[in-house]
Amino acid sequence: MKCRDYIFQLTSGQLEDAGTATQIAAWQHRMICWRCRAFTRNDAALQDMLKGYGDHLQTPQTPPAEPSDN
Amino acid sequence: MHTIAADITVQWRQAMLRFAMLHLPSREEAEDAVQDTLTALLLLDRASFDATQAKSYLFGILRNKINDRLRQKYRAPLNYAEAFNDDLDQVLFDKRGHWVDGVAPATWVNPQQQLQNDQFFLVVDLCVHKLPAKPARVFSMKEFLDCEADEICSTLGITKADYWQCMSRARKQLQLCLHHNWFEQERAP
Repeated sequence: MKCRDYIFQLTSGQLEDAGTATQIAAWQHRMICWRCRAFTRNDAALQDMLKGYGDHLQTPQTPPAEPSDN
Repeated sequence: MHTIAADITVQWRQAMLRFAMLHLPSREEAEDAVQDTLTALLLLDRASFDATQAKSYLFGILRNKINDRLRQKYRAPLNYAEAFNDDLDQVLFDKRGHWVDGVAPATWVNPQQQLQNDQFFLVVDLCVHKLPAKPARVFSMKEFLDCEADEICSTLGITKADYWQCMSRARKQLQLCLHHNWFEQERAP
């Protein structure tokens, strides 16, 4: 498996539903490629960030404070 | 119910509009979707409405209103190949399919901590809005409207292969954008 193929499998979501042979090939690739390992860790973090961003979007913004007379 | 609806409108309208504008191509359409949602709220049975659950009600209805509009708008088959004219993979990978030197992002430091930072969300917002229109549409339906892949394909009239291409493009571009605009800056001395 090449980096390009691994990253496509990961980012498209195909890897989640892939069969055992693909899962093993992906695992082997991660073992030998530190760049893809880093990308995979970041991708997992990105998922949590998107959840946080979605919640952030659904939060009313605080209106600006009224100017004081002082 | 009208008094409650008025309070809810004041409190939630801007957040709903921001959310709708992420999915719909024009402000007018986003405003219409929000208006439809608020109208639907007025038609709810007062006895069954729990004001403490207003956010769930509102965004649940809004998701459906956005989905209805997307379904009407994109029922005709679309040529998704054009979404990838600027092939990101040519920038990321060499001819043998390996990373081009200096392009792959390093592991992010303390990504969870960033969620407490309003500035960080501004950068996420910028990166999401930089996505090409078609991958952005697929990606936002999956991640923010919680739609399943089959529903997205049927709503937008695209194939599963198009769906995978769009999701992959969006996730790759978002990681690179956040890396360059936030995490790399954090590491800089």
